[in-house]
Amino acid sequence: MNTHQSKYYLLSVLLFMGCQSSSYNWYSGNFEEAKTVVGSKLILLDFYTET
Amino acid sequence: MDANKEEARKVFDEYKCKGVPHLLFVDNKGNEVDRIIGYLPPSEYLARIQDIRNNKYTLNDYLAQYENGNANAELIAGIAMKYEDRGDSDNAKEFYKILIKDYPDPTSEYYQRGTYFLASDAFKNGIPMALNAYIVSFPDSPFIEEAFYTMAYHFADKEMREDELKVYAQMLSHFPDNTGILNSYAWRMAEIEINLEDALVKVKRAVKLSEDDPNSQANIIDTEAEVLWKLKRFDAAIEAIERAIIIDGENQYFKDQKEKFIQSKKETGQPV
Repeated sequence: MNTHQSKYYLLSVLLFMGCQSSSYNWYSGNFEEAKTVVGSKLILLDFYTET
Repeated sequence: MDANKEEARKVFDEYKCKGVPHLLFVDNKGNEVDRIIGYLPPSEYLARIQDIRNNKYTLNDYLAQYENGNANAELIAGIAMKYEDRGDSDNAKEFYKILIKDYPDPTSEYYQRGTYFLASDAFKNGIPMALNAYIVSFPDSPFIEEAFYTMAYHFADKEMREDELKVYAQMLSHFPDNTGILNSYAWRMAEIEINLEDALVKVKRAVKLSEDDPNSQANIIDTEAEVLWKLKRFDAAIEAIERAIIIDGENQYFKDQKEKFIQSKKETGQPV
């Protein structure tokens, strides 16, 4: 197996909350929709391997 | 949300991401704030996220410091690396050039990274000797292995087989005991079905050298099995992949490989 290159990626989006004690709120729409509702918060896109 | 692969791929490419895991932080206009590439220990990971949220150690933070006259080697290298992470080669090049000109310390890792980046960029833009010249000029650089891989992948993409094989020969000569390089060479030879006997010798050496790291060894044994399969030595391939399965019994890929080898053996009419 050649582990030097990754082959798969998936996308998760969460809206990054602004207060210290907050927890993550996972967003159930797509990236374009997330941009319209995020306001001054940040969007975190999480790409990771399938395996 | 979990999006489908097609959407993920589109966004991944749009932001010029390379490699996973890859965390990308963007604002409501889609502007990148920062990114985290690769794994981090939990405490370090949390600290990085908090810094990004506070716009600390981000590209915008670094550029503001630079514009305020707080230039130093670390800051300039930091800006160049942020641009590099974003796939913005032109701006990365500009700041690496500033770094090399204003802070010419060949023992510094920033300097070595900058010179490697410029050599790599020149190579990709049509100066074939650029990376070989870099390897000769900076033999102790931590970027030598990366320089070899950059050349090998480039020649592979362009289907310049002879040049690719020359690079692997150079790599193996430079790093004769590097299990990753031995494994990559063997896997690649299996892919292009060239030098299979030599690949088998090299991968068996890598298996032996990786005895202290079973997880890594299992992946290398998988390469050994793949080479054996390409050599049509199906029994040996099945025996090899079973060794990998003993190490990592949960690995579905190894089990699929075993099925592939058994199927090939059946197709030749041999009893299984």
